Amino acid sequence: MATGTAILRVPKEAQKGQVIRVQMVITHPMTPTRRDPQTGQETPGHFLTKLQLFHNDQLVSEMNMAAGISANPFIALPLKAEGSGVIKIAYEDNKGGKWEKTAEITVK
Amino acid sequence: MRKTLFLGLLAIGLVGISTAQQKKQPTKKEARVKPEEVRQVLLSGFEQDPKFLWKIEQDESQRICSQYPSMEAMPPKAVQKVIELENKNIVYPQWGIAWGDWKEGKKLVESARGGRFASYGFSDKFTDKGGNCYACHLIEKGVPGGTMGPSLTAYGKRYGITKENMNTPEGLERLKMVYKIVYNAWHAYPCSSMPRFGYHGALSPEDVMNIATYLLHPESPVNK
Amino acid sequence: MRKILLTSAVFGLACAGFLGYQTVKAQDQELSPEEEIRLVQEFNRMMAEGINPGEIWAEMGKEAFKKYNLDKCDFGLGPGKVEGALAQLPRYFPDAKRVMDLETRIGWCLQQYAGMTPEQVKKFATQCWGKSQCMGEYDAIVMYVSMASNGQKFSVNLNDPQVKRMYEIGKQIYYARIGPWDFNCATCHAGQKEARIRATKLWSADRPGEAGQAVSIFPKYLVRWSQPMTMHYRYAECIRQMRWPTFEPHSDLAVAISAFLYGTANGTEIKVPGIGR
Repeated sequence: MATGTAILRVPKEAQKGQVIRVQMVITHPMTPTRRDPQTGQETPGHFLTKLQLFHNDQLVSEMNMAAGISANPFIALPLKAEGSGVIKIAYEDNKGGKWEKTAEITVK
Repeated sequence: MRKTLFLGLLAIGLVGISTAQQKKQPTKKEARVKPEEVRQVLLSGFEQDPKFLWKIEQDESQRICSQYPSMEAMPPKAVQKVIELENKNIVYPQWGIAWGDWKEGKKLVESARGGRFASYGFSDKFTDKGGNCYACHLIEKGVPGGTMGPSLTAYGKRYGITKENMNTPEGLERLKMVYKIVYNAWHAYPCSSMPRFGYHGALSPEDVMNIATYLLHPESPVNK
Repeated sequence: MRKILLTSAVFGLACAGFLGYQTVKAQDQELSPEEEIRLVQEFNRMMAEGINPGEIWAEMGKEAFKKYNLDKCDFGLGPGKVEGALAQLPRYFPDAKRVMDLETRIGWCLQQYAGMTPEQVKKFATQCWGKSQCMGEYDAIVMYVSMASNGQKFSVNLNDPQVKRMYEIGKQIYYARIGPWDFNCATCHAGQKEARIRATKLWSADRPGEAGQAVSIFPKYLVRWSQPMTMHYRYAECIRQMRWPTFEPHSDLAVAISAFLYGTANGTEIKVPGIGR
């Protein structure tokens, strides 16, 4: 799978008001920007910078990331299940990559 | 007369047939695998680079040790044989038993490099060398080490080596003992997990003396 | 009277000395390495919750499986059937006339159904060795097939004489001292005494259940290389550390070691992928 693809898992069903865990793993090398101590030459890093969580197109959580997070990060965000619909994650990295992924949830 | 002869031949014939039948049953001995089969499988598992195939020839002591799963399972005769063989395999440095340089010894003790070759990267250079001692031993206080071998913390201090007595015959005798263990551990502990560094040439006699100095010298960080 | 006092004094001193020695020995155990190890174990426990990043490779593997025509490959339960395949391997395959473990079988099927030569198969299998964050299709296929047996228990058929023969050969090699550092698998992974190499605990084939716990989580996702490690890669790395010559994947040596390890692991539940440092 290419860099930027993700596995997104949410419970299929939830009770109204229940706090669920939105779990995801994003394929990404998360390499930091390095400077060679001898030559001073800088190798730019490649890492995710922002992650947003939407519930039915309403922004619920926003997370800023940097190179300190390890490769292929596993992220779990809490979400209060208010209504059925679509949970969407949108994320971008420092080289201009932008991706989205959705999953459906039914709330009783 | 003829009847007895006939009955006798019949008896011999029946015994002969029954023994032949017994041979057809797989005995416990046949279920074991032959050393040639094991060697063939082993050879098939390595890249056929002639630079490294010498590595898999077992010497006499290795062959003896391979027959027993541990030191404790060995019969006294085998233990004696290995000790006898290995005591012949110790070489001392050019200038004999004299204290070496513990700083060099420290570098060798901490280095995990030397002897590892793989065609997919992660190979050591031919000039790399080291004992990788921390894999199995605890040596300096506070440095993570393994527990496969005995702890060597404050080794020189434990044996009472001080600046005053290090150059006496007793002090040098202790140095010689430690030198022998690091050079060829099997001369005292047959079939131990510890490699025979000096015997195999992984470390030169001078390297081994430096390591022994690092362990015993009163100025060495091991004993501070 | 004096004699009794003297003897009891000497005895008391000896006891004190003995207890003192024990305390000093125990203090050796309370060095910071123990703390470090506890933190590593806590880290491993936390990593076991949630999604294992190795599942990315399992998703890749599902597509690669079809791409290389492996739905024609018989792992012992019928062509293309992967559920339970890992649990009964290694086994004897009459079409190849060899005992094979999972990776050897995949290598053989790649030659039969994807038109690869043995050199191409070796290159395909080792494309991620020595790298990190390598999205290898071979690792993906192994991950996909292994995960399909999750929840089942290892049941290698040791009554089959061919498998038993490989098990015995594997066992002999496991305990045979070879090479310029006199190492073998048993140097680290045998014996009754619990030991560790630097800060990592070692499992032992002689202590019941431990070999099973070690192999039931392979392929294992390694955080330090951000990619999974398959069994044959693990053998190659161990063999490199033992100062033996370079390991050849999919060889009879691999099958022998697999037969011994998986045979010892019989009865352990499969929980792929594992995660570790």
